[in-house]
Amino acid sequence: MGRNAIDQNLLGEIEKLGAKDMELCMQCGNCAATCPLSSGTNTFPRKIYRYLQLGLKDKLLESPEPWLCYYCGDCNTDCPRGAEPAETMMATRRWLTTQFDWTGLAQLFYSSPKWQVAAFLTVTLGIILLFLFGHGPVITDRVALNSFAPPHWVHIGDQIMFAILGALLLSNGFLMYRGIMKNTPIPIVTYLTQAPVFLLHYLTQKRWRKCGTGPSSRWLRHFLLFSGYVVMEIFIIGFLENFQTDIVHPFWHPTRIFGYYATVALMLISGNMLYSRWYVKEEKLHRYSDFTDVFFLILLFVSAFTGILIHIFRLSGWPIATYTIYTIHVAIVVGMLSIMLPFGKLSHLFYRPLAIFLTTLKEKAVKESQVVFETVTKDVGDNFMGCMQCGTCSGVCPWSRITYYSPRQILRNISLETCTQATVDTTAWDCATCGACVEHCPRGIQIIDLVKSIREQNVAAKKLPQIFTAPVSSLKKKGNPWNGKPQDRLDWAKAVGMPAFSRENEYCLFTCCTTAYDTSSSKGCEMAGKSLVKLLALADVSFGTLGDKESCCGDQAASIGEKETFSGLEKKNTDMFIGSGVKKILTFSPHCMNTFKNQYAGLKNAVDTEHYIELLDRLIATGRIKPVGMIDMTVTYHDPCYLGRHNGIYDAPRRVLNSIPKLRLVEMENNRERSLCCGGGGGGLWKEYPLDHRFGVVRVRQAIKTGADVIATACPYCIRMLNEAITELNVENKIQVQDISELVLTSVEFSNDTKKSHTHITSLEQEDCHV
Amino acid sequence: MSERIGFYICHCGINIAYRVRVAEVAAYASTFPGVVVARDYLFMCSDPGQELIESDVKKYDLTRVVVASCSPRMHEKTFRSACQRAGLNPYHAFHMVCVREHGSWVTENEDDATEKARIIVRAGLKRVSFQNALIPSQFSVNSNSLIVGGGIAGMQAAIDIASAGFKAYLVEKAPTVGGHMLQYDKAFPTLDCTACIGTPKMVAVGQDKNIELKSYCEVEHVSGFVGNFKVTINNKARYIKTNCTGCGDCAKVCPVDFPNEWDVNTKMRKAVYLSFPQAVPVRYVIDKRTTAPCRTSCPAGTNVQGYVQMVKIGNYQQALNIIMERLPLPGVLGRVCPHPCETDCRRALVDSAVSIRDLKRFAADHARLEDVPLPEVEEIDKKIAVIGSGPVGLTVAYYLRRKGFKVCIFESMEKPGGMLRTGIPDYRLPPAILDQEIGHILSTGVTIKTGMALGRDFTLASLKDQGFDAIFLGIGAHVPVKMNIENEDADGVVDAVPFLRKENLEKAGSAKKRVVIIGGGNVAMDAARVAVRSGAQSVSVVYRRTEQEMPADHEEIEGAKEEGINFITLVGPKKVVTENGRVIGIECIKNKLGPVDAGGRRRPVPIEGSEYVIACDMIIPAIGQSVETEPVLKDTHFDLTARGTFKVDPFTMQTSEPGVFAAGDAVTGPATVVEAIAGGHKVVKAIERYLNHEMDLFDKERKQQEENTKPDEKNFVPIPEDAALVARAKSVFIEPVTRKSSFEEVDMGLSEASAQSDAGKCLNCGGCCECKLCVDACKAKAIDHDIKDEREIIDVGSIIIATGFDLLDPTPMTQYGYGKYANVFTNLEFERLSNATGPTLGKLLKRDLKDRMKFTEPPKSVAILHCIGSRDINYHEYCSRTCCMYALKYAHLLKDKCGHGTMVYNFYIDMRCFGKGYEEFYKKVQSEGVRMIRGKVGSITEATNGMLTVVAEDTLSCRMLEIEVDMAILCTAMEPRSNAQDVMRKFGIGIGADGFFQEEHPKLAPVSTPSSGVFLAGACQGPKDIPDTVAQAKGAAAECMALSAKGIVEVPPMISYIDPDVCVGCQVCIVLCPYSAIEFDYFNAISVVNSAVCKGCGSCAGHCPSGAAKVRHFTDQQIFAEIDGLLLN
Repeated sequence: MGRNAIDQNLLGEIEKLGAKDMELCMQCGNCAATCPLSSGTNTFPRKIYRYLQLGLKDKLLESPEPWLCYYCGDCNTDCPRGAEPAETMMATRRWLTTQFDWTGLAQLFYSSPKWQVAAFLTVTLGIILLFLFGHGPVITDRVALNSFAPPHWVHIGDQIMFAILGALLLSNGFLMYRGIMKNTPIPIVTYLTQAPVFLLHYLTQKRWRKCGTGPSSRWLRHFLLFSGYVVMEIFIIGFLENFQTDIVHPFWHPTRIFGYYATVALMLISGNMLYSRWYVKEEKLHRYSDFTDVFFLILLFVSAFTGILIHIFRLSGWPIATYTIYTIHVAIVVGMLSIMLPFGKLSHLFYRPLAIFLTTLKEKAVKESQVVFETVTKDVGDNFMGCMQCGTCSGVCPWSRITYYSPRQILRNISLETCTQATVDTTAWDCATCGACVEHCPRGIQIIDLVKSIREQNVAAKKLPQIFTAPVSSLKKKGNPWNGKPQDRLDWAKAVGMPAFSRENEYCLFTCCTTAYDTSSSKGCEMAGKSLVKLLALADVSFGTLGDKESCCGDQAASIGEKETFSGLEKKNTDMFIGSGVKKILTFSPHCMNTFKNQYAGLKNAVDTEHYIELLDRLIATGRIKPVGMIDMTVTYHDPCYLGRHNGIYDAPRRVLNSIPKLRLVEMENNRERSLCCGGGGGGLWKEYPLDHRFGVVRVRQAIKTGADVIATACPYCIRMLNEAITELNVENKIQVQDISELVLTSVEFSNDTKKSHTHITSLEQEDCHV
Repeated sequence: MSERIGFYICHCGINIAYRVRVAEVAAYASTFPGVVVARDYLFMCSDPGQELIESDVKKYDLTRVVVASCSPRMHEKTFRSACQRAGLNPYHAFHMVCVREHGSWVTENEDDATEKARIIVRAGLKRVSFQNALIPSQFSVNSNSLIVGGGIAGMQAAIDIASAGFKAYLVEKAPTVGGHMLQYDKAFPTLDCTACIGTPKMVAVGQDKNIELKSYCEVEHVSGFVGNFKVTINNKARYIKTNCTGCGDCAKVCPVDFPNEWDVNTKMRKAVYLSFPQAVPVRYVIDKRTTAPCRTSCPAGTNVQGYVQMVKIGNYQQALNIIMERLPLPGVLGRVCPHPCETDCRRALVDSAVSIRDLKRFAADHARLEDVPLPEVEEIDKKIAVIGSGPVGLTVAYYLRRKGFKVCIFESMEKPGGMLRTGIPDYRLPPAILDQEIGHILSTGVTIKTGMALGRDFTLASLKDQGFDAIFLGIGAHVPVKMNIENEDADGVVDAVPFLRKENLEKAGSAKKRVVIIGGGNVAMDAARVAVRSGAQSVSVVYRRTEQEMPADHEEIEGAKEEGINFITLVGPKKVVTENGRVIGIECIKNKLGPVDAGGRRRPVPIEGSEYVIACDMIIPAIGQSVETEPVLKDTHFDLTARGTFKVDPFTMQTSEPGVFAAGDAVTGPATVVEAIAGGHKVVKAIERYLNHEMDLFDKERKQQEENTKPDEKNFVPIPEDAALVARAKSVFIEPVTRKSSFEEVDMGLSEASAQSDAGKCLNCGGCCECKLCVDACKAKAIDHDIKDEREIIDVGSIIIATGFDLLDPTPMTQYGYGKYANVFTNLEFERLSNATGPTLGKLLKRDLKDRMKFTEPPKSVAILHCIGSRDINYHEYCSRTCCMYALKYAHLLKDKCGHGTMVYNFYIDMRCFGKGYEEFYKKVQSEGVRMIRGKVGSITEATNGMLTVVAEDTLSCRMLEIEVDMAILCTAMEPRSNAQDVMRKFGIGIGADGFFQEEHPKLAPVSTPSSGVFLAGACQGPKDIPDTVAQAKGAAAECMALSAKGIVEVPPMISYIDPDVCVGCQVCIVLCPYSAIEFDYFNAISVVNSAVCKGCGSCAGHCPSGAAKVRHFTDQQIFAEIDGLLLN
């Protein structure tokens, strides 16, 4: 299911990590509008507030946005409700860190300073003990650090440490990657070609420079700190043996120049930051500090400070002091890195560039839409601009029972001209044109027309999805979508003796292609068609068929946007009907009826079209068909969308069913105007979805819930789709699909075996005498 | 040219001048004949602008003035005053043309706009010379005001008017004032308790001397005009007089329960009720509707609903008392009545009809006849002879006796009872019951002479001689009808009537072995079943149609079948087959059913050659009886009908002989007991009137009868949607085997439990059941069930309409499951829950899943759905304005009353918190942790455990949400009142596209209507919250007071008049006039305009065929001159 369960605890969790004023936010979006970094679909902080307010945990895990924020604080300043979105973004980053860390330690450390300190001390103590018991010879006459702690071994040690911490961080990063890139398939090549983006942002944090009106030196300060850190890392991981040396290099030597630079940068900036956090609290940026923020800075400062002390002590020739401070320095650095890198604040050095990198990839994946605003307004008028984005359409869409599907977003994107392939074009192909959204739209917007316009524009741009190529080419060449030979169109009805149409006939029976070339294994449509022919013959209805002269009505062609194919079919059929002197068309399918009645301009005022159910209803009412045989079954009626919602025929089929003695008609949870689509309309017959994404399956499950033995319907598409669903669900012995005409025929044919019951009506009339 | 015209064109800042070259237009005007001065000016409406006109008039001696500026709607009055100040008659001298709305604003370029302005100006200049001097008329104003609607708007307006010293009539449809506001719990945003701020207003309108509160009243008709309205008010019958103390004793005894409308059906009230404890006036009201169908379908008019209710509560004696009001033989009717009441019973629309007849018998069996109170009346010294002691005779005797007359019954047989005794078999009606009930009738002082046969022992003449003042003929129909077939008189053919009489009176056992009964009525069934009991071995019933058409009661047919009686249908008798003069069989012919005959049944058609013989020893024809009129006709002549029955007047039941009345079978032919009793009641009334010389009263009733129509279904109490299905109570019957050999009563009646449960099924279609228990319970003697609606006419000068709004019924929106799911509430239901006088005394509780009237525990999570039916073109396009705010209030109340842990979700489209303190309230509620979800809910579904799943898209996070909650509240739209159209017509006001009453101008005249003197206040004009409503009410009150204080109203003189010399009196104008301003002068046969009412719309003038009707200031001459000006090139 595409719906998000609300996590009631999320709010509390994040508030503990420092999120502020969640209740104040009224979702005005001012913060996002102020934010210099919020852009495109990556809007924040409003969106993040939203997820937090509602407890949409999984949405939050999929969001790169918290990492795109550098906390300039502009949103705090401008918030009309006085909330502090930036602080909340910070808290969200903390929370995300705890979520990405699968060991659970981050969670522990962030929620408890004591644990954090304890863990740090443990690691530190461990290192000290390691040195205490595993140090090399202590030479006291001179400073021989490399004997005390042979660089080779230390180097191996720190490489092991970095390998472990790196592995942890990478695995956490993988969780982030999985969340953000969910539903965005991107070829690996793109990852490689875009890799420089990652490096660029890792090394420069250049996005930050765009950030806001905060003190301009923030990026610079951070960059200095970062450069110091990186220089040190490079020394430690790559050149420890050159760096940790007993030789006193000249002043200009790179190890000394860079060493001094890194140390000064680290000490100066971390000191400066500590000062800000401790003493300048009133400044907007530093009003709130988590323990980790301060602790990390302290450790950074102390690391750098002890580092430079080693250097000073060594130069001063104080062996014991040097060894001692060295031990302390290494212990603190290892402690800091093991706590902060995978489980703490320092992890941002990986998460942030990764998030930026993935966001860039996502942006690259967005494909341009074929939909042009002007074309849409030309096709459907501008009534859709009245959409108030209430979302009713999404709520009533049958898709909403399966996944998140939002006609509202399509409307939004078209009216703002922000369409993309993913949000509009592809989405529109999933519409089954069932009309539920149109039925319920409070502003009366014809959403289906919009979908058709989108499809037409895609077809015009040769973007017809692969699945439709076969049916469309069959439609063009053979006049039916099922690749059947035109001359075989009447084969199915040979057994029942379908009469040919002559001018004297009242009705011309138009067979749906889906019935005529029933390619399904159940042959449900064919059987239904046969019953109808028999029933019409039994009732002495004057009818005939034009048989192999017919072509597809073009319903599917029209609804998948194949405008030209449709108009070809329209012309052919119109000529055929008019030429043969047809006055009334009787269709088997509601789709054919809808197309002839509402879409064929040439038949307007010349030929009437009627669905068979209306005729059947009249025949029963006038007694020409007498369903007297009892059918002792529970039946539920599935409203075909094009009979019900599109043409308002709800009562006739129910009356017909109710006329069958003993038949118990039960209603599914969704019925009449709120009926659920079988999924066959709008090209749905050819679409392939996984089992749980099929409307038919949803519908059959609903039908089973009513306890019905039979799903009655009156549309070949529905018969086909529901039969498929029944086969897939493997419930053939529980429920079956029958056309209404089949049920009626059963009742009419078996009338002899049944007994008639009558009820006695108490009458007051006195024929004779009574006291 | 003697006219001297001044022309002025206004720049209107740049509004006109930015498109129209005003100087050019002025120059153009100056060339026009007669124009003495033409000017343009920046703001003509400013003081200097007006002064310009005034000084020019004097300076240039102007006689006419034309101003070209904005719409006359804005400044016509301003310039008219300027002209008046300059000494001109403004109607004569001044004309205004519009070059802004008609010119500069709607024209795209300067040339076109200037050209258009020139044309418009030309038309004005042409017209002005033809204008005549007019003088406005003045009328006095009645200082009383009428306020329609007793909600907060109406109350506030009334209080304001009263405080200014004027009189206010406050008319309220409901039994109490208060309106919707008093139904609410708290009022946003300050959360004051509405009762605390509302009840002082209620008390004030109840007590203020200047306010005449008319609750439970409706305005029926309004006539007159501003300052002088005549309003007809219907005081609906409360059935409770003003001395009611509000003690509630009546409600304690009332057996009838209905959902309380005030609590939107969340709790029950009695048929006699007070809406809520603080109601004003504190006066109970009885809810009476159209008489229940059971009562109207009872020929005798028995108060069926009344005694069914009495059985329900176990007061059997009162049940019997009620029955005895109309039926003197309760035990008899409880057994043999064909119960037409049950056929009409509306409970059958739910499951099955109430077993009314069995309940009647139950009451008769369980109460004492001796305890039935007799009315205390004086003895009247008039003697009435009742001939025949059948049901009709007994009825006439009993009820005349109850009125104090002296009654003597003459009976030809040894024992009284007539057909009851001779015709109805004992197993259906035990003689003991009959004896007991006749005994009771006789015990009231009726004398009886048995063995006295008319024509044999006495005659009508002899009765008159004995001093009887009136005679009643109730001699029944005892003569068998012949079959008219061969050998009908053979030995062994015995008619049903004598057969039954013999068996009933003597238990003779006269049936032969094989018996054939002819006929399918109840008599045939009786004869067949008696034959079984009198020794017949096989009994067959021969009937010419099918069983479906048989007129006998269904239960009789079933009873007969159970006793082994054979039914031969679609067979008709042809001839009696005899041997030695004795019956040995009957030849029959088979029938088939032909077309439907006049009686609505299909006629039997014999099938030629299908004759066959049924062997039998005895034939009992039961095909009808006729009246034995011979002994009566001996000495007096009577008109008879074609069927041989007495011809009587259907109202007075008087025969052709004055003073002699007849009813029962002797008039109707063979019919039912209850129909006989019905006839008896008519006779009682007629004899009483006859003796009091009041027979002319019938003539009035004859007329009324014609007007009476069948009660409409909608006047009954509606059928509750959640009524549980209850099986019909069944009597206990003796086993067929035992009963075949005995005349013991077959039907043992209902048990007490099943009688009470069946009586509990009654839907109380008529509202109050008129059991009158309340009358006895009321210590103040305030209850009078005979009060009728009363009409009164009041005179007022101004009217305020404050009829409020209705709430949309969300039931049709099936997606939300309102009415289907227990815990989907409407906003008003929620308000009542929260209100201290509501069903839960202010606790917010969930509904019990099975019982809608029961509330269980506080919800843990609640969804509040905004915009239900508002902002939705399928329902109402407008925004209801209050929902956002009260939804926030609900959220707060839920957090407050159900604990802070309660999850509250608000599903909104936009938050509209526009008023003072509203945004702050929004912020406050949000900070209480209420979740705001921007998206409208698509559907609600209920799981078996009652949890509701709410599906919506959060459009801000672009996610589909599926949230489980305990309770959902629908914030439904405010709708125009369902009777808004009626009100509109009554008061001559307008309705806008949204269905609410239309104000005169949305900004500048928000409380006035086009009908002068009629004002609007509150939500009847559009959705409104309380502060806006009160503000508007105060505005409307000020308008009324302005009229009253001035005491004079001036009516513009531009109205119609009808030239009396030209009018031909065709009256077409009278029908057309939308203001009913034209009356017909019958004396002169012409139509006359009432100048006070006329608004000058011109409908009459436009349509008048003779040209007599004209509108002043819009005469043909003026209009043609204007058209000339427009067309002139």
